[in-house]
Amino acid sequence: MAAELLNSLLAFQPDAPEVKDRREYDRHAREFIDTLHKCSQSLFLKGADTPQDVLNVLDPAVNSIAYAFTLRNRIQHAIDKNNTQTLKPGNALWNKLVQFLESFDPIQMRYAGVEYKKLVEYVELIARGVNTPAIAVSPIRSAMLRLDPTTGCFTTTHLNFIRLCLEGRAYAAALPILDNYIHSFPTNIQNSIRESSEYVVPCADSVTSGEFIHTKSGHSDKVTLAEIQEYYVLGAIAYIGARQFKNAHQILEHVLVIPAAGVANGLMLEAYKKWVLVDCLVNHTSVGNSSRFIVRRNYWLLSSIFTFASVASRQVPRTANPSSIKQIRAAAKAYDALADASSDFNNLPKLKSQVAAGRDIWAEVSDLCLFGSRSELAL
Amino acid sequence: MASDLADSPFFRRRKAKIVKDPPKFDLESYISNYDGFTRIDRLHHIGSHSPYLATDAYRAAIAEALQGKNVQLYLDLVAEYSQIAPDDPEALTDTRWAEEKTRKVQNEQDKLEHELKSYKNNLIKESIRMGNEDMGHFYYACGDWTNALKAYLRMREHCTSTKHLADMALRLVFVSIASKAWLTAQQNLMKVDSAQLKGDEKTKLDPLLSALAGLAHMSLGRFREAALSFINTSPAFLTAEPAAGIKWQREVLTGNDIAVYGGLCALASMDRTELQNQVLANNDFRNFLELEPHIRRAINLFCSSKYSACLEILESYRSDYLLDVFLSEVVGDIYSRIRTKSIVQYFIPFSCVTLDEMASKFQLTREHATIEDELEAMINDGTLNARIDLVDRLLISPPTNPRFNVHNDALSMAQRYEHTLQLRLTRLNMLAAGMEIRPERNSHQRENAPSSFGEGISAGLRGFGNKIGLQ
Repeated sequence: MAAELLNSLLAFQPDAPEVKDRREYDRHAREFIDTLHKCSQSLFLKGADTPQDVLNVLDPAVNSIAYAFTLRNRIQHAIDKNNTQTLKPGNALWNKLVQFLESFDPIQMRYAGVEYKKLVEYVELIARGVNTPAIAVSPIRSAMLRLDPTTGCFTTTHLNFIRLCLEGRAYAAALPILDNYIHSFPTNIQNSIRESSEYVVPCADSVTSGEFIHTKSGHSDKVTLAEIQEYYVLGAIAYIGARQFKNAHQILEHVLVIPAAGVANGLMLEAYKKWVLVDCLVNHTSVGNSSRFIVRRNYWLLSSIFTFASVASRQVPRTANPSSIKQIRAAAKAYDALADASSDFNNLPKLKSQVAAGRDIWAEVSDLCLFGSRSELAL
Repeated sequence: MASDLADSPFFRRRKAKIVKDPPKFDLESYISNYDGFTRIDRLHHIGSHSPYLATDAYRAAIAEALQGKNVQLYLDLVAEYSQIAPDDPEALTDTRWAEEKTRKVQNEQDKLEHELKSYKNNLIKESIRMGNEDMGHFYYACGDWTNALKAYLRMREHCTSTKHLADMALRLVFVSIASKAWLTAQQNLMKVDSAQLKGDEKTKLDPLLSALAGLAHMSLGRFREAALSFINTSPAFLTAEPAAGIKWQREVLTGNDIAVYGGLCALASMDRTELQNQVLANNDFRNFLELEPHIRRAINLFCSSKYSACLEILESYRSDYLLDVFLSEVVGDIYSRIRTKSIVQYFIPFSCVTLDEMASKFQLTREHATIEDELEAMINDGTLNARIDLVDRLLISPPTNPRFNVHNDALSMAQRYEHTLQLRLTRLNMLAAGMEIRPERNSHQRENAPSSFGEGISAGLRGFGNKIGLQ
């Protein structure tokens, strides 16, 4: 039986001469995935934990689709049966999962979007299960970069990844993904359009990753605006954590320019507050060693404002919706006042009193955001 | 005498405004240059600011006021003077005169109003215009600026020639200068300009207009425009005939005033080459500068980089200028600008200067306690590109590398540009994906509420349609 399974799994060979043509490749890959979908879960479990285990026979870098299906079913089974021992980091299935995510064939995984997403989610699930979310960061990052070296198409994986990074305080680890500009969002391409354009098969060399990552490809859930905003705000926190204030400043501006019909939402307000503070640090003209004044350890962002004297040139990006910004400003007066105070040379008392005046607000913010977890931000 | 007066209740109350040092000019000869309202106004200004000249100035002003129709001004002057010198017979209010004058003024107003009404009934344009003009003159003489402005403005629709229009506008300028409404003065000057006078008329008015424009600019704090207006004033101003029945060079500002105002504004706003080319080498303005040789000397010294001597001259005339009715408001500003500019110009050729040297070159004014404070303020607001070394007491010019700066600027501009483009693309992408924050109909539902979800999907399709359409 194991041999039968192996035969069906090896039915698709990406290097075979008959799939040299892109369209043939596309057709074969789709057919293969359809057949694999029809197979029952029990089929994939055959021969597990034996020397003829298909996971040992298959090469994750060559037979990626087959490997992904098998792996997914195995893990699913292990979770269903509550047999979590093999899933623990360091054990067989975890190692295979990590190895796969770091070495899969990106072209094949364009077709198996659902499996890709599932496997990435399993990594996160397991890492959380053993209470060390940080160990999931590296495999997920590798998988994202393998599938799409630009990581410029926003997926739900992006958000999950940045949440994990913040929970594990792995700010530097988040930077390779954050540094990449988000150039597209998963769009809803109608089937008729997708199929009529015959040369735009997923396996073709595409200009942007937005061509093979879309709402139907399975790589991402439906993306909402709030999720994008959350990604940017959390990304800014990671930048602040890594002390890259300029990048934080720039990524926050992405939130401020979000199209809005004259209104703003909480995340935009949050972004604006951080943006005002970070702006004090970015647009500074340093004047040697001005006095360092630390209010409390938690206020390190505020306190670092004291180390620089800044020039208030807070110019909101021009594409931002003016009435939204107006509403936000009304709600974030304490921050504007603080930033104005910090731009005054020779007026430390003013700055001190502004900090004192907003003490309650800062305390709340430092709990909620600067060090907050995703659950609180998602509120 | 002077110190006694400085202790009088009047001067004690306005401590901040009084001019302590004795002025250089002689009141008699100074005031003999002026006529009309500005004479009283100047006397009043001098009297209320300088304890040295207060008695003479108030006496002359009160005597002058008794000749006029402005009862309120007389009462104010006497009231102020009685606080300075209560024993002086002039300080007693001549109530009989005041009552009589008020009655006369009222009679005259009634008469003029009556006349104007009859003109209006007759519908003769020229008469109505003249009636309004008389009303304007009358209100001006009474010191009622708003009504004077209104009366002159009413002349407008009855003006039949460009000359009438220009005269009316000049009258308006005159009133607004008397009431120190500089923006109105400027607007009306523009009206004179747009009255499209031709030939002789125009050449007669041009010097007046540029001088008045300079005055308005200076009082509004726009020193560069003021300097340009003043230095372009033709010397014909000195001999100009009265325009609109006003002898401008006696009733508003004299040639000496133009020299002082123009010279100071130029010093405050121009650099050395400009001063040399546009002020000293200017044939027209030379005529004015000859009237005030010390201003000419100050400009010469500034051009030959002897800043401390230049500042010294100006400083010695500070009290004079504080007693000038137009200059007193802006003289502090002008002086500090000249000083800042001198310091900047002085420092340019050096890579470092000791602070003591700076302090000796630039005598401290009252604004800053030490030269360090002043330099620090200048460095902080970006006018002086230097650093202070307090240990060795040096003012150091920071090393500059123009090549590096240019490269740096170019790089940062490229970055900024790229970032701006990315922001716009993000926005466009979001619009294309149908993502937009909309006002929520139900305020209890926040984001991710099912209603907005459905919207999002349909909007996504709409957005996509647009995208296809664009391509």
